[in-house]
Amino acid sequence: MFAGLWERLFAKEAHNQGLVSVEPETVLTELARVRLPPQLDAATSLITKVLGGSPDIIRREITVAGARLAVIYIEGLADKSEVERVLNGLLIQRPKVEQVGLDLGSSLKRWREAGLPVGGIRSGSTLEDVAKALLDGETCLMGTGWDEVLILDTTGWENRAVAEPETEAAVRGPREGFIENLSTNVSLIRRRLRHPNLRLEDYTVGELTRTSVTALYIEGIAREKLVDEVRRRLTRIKIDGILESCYLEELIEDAPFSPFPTILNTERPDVVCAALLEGRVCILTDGTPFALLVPATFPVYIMTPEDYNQRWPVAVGIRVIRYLGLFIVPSLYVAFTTFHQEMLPTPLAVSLFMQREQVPYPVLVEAVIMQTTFEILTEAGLRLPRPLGQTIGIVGVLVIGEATVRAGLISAAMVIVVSATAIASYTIPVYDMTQAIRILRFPMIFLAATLGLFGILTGLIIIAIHLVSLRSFGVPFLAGFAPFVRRAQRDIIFRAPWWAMQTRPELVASDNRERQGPNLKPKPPESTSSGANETEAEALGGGNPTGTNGRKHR
Amino acid sequence: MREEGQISQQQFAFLLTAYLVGRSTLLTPVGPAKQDGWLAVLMGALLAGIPALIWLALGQRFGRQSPVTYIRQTLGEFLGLPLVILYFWLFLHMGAGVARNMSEMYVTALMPETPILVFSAAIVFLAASSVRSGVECISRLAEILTPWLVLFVMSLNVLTLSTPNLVHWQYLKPILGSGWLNLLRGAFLSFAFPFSEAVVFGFVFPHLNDSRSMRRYTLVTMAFVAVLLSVTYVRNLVVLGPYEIAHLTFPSLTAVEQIDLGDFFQRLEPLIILIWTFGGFLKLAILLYVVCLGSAQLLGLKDYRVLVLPFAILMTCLSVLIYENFAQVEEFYSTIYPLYTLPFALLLPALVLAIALIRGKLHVP
Repeated sequence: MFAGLWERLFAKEAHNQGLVSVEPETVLTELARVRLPPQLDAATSLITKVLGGSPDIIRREITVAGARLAVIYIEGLADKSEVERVLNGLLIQRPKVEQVGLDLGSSLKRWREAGLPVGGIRSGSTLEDVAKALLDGETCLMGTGWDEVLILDTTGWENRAVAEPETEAAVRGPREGFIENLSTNVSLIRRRLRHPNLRLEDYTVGELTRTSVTALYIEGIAREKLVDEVRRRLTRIKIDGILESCYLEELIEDAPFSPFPTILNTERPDVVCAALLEGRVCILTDGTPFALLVPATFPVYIMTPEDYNQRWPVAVGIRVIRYLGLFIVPSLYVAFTTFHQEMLPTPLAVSLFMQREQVPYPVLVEAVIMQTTFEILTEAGLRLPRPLGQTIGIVGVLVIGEATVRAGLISAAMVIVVSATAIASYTIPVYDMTQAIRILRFPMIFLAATLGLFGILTGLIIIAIHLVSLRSFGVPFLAGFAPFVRRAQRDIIFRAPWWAMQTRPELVASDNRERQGPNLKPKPPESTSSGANETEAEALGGGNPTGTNGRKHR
Repeated sequence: MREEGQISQQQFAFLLTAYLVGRSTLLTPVGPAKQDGWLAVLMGALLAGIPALIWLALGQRFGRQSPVTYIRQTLGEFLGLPLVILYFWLFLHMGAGVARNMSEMYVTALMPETPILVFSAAIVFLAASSVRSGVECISRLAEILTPWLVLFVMSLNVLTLSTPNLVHWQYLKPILGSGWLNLLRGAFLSFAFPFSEAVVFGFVFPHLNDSRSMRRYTLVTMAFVAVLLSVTYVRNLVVLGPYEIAHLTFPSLTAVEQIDLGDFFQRLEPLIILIWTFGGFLKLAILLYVVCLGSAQLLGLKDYRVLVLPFAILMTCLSVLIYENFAQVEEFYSTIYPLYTLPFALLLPALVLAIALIRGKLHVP
């Protein structure tokens, strides 16, 4: 009596009647070996059991011309209106269906030809196909006695509307940003690059999330080796789940321990298209609006699409300002006040030290406290609900800053330095790079406080050594600066006008480098008589409504 | 032996510039020449053209082979091997000298309470990490740092010369007042320092990826540096006068301290510290690299990187040990150093070239 009790006491409850294991890593491969039973009821109940009997698995059984068909889909993943359309088609198009005949497998082909009102139809035979299809939002159509299942493409779920990305707003430029849906994102790119050479490669990454990842590149411009390398790195990933493109980024990047990012991420399709035109590869991940671009070099992180959407003189000026913003650092202040007081102009030195009279600790401690406080405030500001955010901003900066200065905890100069640094660092368009610089600021402050100016130079040289050895998918990170390529100077610190950018960046694109024709600089048209001699009447009377020197008139 | 990276011609020019300029604004021992020091510098550079040409000829002749190989080949293993090792000693010594000078400067001018070892160790460590990252790292760093270096030297010169009431052009007179002999002595010193220190670049030639215009780049760079250093010496001279220059510890530093344009361009010492740091760092990096790579070649090692740390430590210790005080430094550089480097820079390569020519070795394409 007690013999079987022990086993039954500790037997595992198998939801699917012991058909397959429940280990997540192996479920799908095991399901691939199970074919569907021919009886409709058995098949549908097996499918429901495999998926855990969730209440959002919807089964509809319909009788069409005497034969029983079953339609299964998962609510929320499949677009209900699509499914309704299929059902309507089945029920209304009965005469045609009767023509086709409803018996068995041989009619599967004719079911397809029968013209169900749905985008794509394919067939599946194993439980794995069915499970994957249902979980992708597709609908399964099964019939009694069929040995295969028809899988109808009805994918459609709730998505955000395409709107301007918050983190990358531009003054001038398209106001479209990627959303979480991969096919919409691909369409945003395809709309801008309407050429057959735009290639897409699909991958599925992540055991449990089965995230769709697409790599895009323009064949003929992107280097073969680069594309191969991307392929290689994406296919070797084995991970539970990919929830954001950052997971991918960390798994395929060149220097996991470097504070500097070597892969650019962006929410804007125009940035992606510009990069694709230069020969880079874009990696889109389903479920996140952030696209990855490889290879990424240092200048790329200081560029914004605005640089290209504005006219040349303005764009150059703004870019130079961004580069200058990199050099405003608190470590200089620390170094000079701690070690090299004699190098400050006397009035300035006097006032600085008067302010610091009340502060009970050395500049290093002051700097660290202030910088840390600022980091905390920044981080807190991100999490606050919007109405509170602005209030805290004002409170944090003005009141707390003012109060600490009054209390003698921090000198006013330090507040100014830290705030100026923070604001300057926000000119850097790409958040990853700002983060890198924030991280590096602390060691630099320590170096400045220990070895003064020499310490800062040491720190700079160490950072330089690191940057110089960094590579992004084979391209040196400081490409254009060092190795110094004269041609590339057209788009690194300065930006040449569009009519002067004849070639694509050498280190990124393959040999196909001419990107526009020569002699594109715009010139005003030749005028037969000089503008100064022309009278108003002649200009107005001339046949051309805009006049030979471009004046418009009503 | 791992085949090392390549340097482009531009990078080579930048490296050479930084190397020659780096320390030379710090110490300019042209001693006897006094107010003709600037002429001495130019003449020294001219004289230095001779060993430069010899090394260039050797570089052309032996192409991708490092002197480590071809010296032994030409002179035979028995004679060549100790000579190569002596070259490495020379470079280590030079590196230690550079580190020592720089630390002395930092300690004297900036932070008197910090021991010399700290600065020496810091800068040698920096050079070591860049050497570990490879020659491409060093040359790219040169590309980034050298323009700033040159820019600052030139701007300091301009600023000093424009400061009102600072410049006394009469210090330049009388030209040739000390006599030809002193001028020649000064030229000889200038030839030794810094130009014959560039002998290390003879060991760098094999890494050039394009050796066609090697000669042009080298000679043009040397000429440019000669002019730059000469102007710098003039600047120091007209500000301080010949007596001061000979007796101040760091004439350049003092000269730069005097800059005062409109109450704004004052106290520009950080610039000169920057120049010296970058220059010294690049110099150390090249010296360390050559020593490590060459030793690895001699010992038949697969990778030179294991040797970097030991040689770096050695250089640091040497830098502290070699001189007792700054006076000794001055004396060494004025009297012993030129004779010390002469065989390495001039006599030995001349010998090697002569023997190679006699043996009728063919051009290696």
